[in-house]
Formats: sequence, structure tokens, C-alpha cells
Amino acid sequence: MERAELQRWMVAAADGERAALDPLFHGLWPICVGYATRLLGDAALAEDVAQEALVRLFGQLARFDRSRDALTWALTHTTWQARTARRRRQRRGEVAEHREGSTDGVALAEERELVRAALATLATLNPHDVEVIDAALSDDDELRRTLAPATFRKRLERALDRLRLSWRSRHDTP
Amino acid sequence: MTRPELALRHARAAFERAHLVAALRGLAISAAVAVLAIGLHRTDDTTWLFAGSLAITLGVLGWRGGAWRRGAFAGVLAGLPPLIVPAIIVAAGNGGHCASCADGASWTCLLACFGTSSLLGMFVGHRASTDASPPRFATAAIASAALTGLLGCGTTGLGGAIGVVAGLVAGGVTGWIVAARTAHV
Repeated sequence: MERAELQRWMVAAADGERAALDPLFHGLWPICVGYATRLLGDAALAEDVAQEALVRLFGQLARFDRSRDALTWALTHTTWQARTARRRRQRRGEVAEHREGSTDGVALAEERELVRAALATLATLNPHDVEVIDAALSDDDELRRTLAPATFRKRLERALDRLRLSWRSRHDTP
Repeated sequence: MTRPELALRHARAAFERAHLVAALRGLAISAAVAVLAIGLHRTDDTTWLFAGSLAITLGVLGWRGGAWRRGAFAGVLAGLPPLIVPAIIVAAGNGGHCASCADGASWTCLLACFGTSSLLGMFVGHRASTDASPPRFATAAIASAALTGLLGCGTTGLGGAIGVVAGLVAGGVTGWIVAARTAHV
């Protein structure tokens, strides 16, 4: 559709001609959607924006100044709606990031709670068992060197068995 | 329903909503003018006839939009002086409402209606010639100005009614011709 034709339809619609609404809309729709897509880079959001822009434009057709360019007016509406949509999306993004941040905080708190519970359970074991588990976790070679590997492994297994038992009895888990 | 069809439906609804609001505005304006007329002049059956006609005219033309709407609202403004001026003149002369106009228009009433209508008619005609759709603007303006003026001058009798209508038409045509000539020079 040519620009001059769009202008004619817009002027007619502004004069209250209902017959001009359909051709005007069908002329503007692909242009506004394409323009909004270029602005936003999101086809679905661009269609929402084009719809909002054209709804506003059709609601204000009586204010159309026929000395102005119809297409420019339509694209001005689309630009404003795209800007609003972008801001709305940014706000939603900020909220999502904030929620993500709060999820991390919860996970961190849970992890801390687990570490605290594990340390409390370790405290119920005898010092030899704690020493073996600590040496296994920290890769401390000093204890390993003083013991035969098989002995270290057996002592570690026994210490872990006692740790599990203590954990189950403290936290009532199977 | 496809996305463009849905969007078109919403756009059409927005368009019609705007026109409906304009029609309601027209009704509100006609109600205000009727209240003013009732306050200034005596009321009879013709008052209600003119008030009803004005309400329908402003409602329909407001809904129609474009030059019809612009002309209708300009016509109300043009019709206000013929609505008010006779009451002022008669009040100044008789010390009250147009008592002597009850049975027939006095020359004072008639001249006041004709004079103000002619003057305002010239402005309407001039303004119509500069509008994008002069015939529509002029028709709507003359109709609403005549009905507004008749709410005042119509109550003074047939003479007042003829005065306001003739004044508006004569003034409108004069204003239009003058504007057209000025544009050609």
C-alpha cells in the first residue's frame, strides 16, 4: 500500500468514515508489526505492541491533523508503545533477577544449615573418627602416611558408618 | 480468529468508543443549553421540541464524527448569542422576562434574534469555507446553531424563529462568499 493511499484512508477515517477503517488497518498492521519487531527483536511482543498502538491510534483518529503524515503518526504511536513494552519487560526482568537472587539466598541458607547440622553430628563422634573423616575430606596426607592404606580405608568406613548412624538418630531419617 | 483480525476488532471497538463518548458529550452539551434556555426564557412545548431536537442532532452528529461533529459543536457556540442576547435586551427593556413576546415576537426580539444570528452566521460561513469538508461543516453548524438559537428566540414566537434561521442562513452564505473571494484574491 502506498503512503498516499494510507494518508487518504486515515483522513477518511478521521472524518468518521467507517468504510475506511478496514483498509487503513490492513495497510498499517504489517508496517507497524515489522517496525516493532525491528525495535524489540521479539515477534510476539511486536504484535502486542502493534495492536496496542493501533488501538490507541483508532481511538484518537478524530484528533488526526490531516496536514501531518499518516504513516509517521502511526509509527510514532508504535514507537511509544514499544518503549512502554521495553520498560515493562525490563521491570519484569528486574523482578525475575530479584527472585532469582532470593532463591540463591534460600539455597545458601539451607546449605549453611546442613553444614551446621553435619558439624553438630561430627561433634558427637570420638576424636579419632573426626580425625579420619577430616583427613579424607581435606586430603591431609599426614594421617594417611602414618597408617596403611587399607587400615585408613577401614577406619574411614567405620567412622562414616558411625556418622551416618548418628545423623539418622539425630534427624530421624531412615 | 487470527491475530490481525483480533487486533482489528479491538481497534474498531476503540474507534466506536471514542465516537460514543463524543455523542455523550453532545448530549451533555444539549442538556446544559436546555437548562440555560429554561433559566432565561419561559418554557412551553416548543422549548422541549427544540431541546429534544438539539439533543438528537448533537448526539448523532457527535457520533458521526469528522466535519459533522466539528460543525455541530461550532454551531452550538454560534447559537449561544441568539439564545442569550434577546433575553438580555428584553430584560433591559421590560425589566424581566420577555413578557410582551408571549403572544407574538416584538420588533426588538425579532431584530435581536436576526441581528445576532446574522453576525454569528457570517462567522460560521467563514469558518465552514476553511474546513476540510465545508458543506458538511456548514450544514451541521447551521442545524445546531438554529436549534440552539430557537431555544431562546423560538419562545418569542414565529417571528423570532424566522429571525434566527434566516439570520444564520443569510449570514452563513455571506461569510462563505466573503471567505471564498478573499481566498481567490
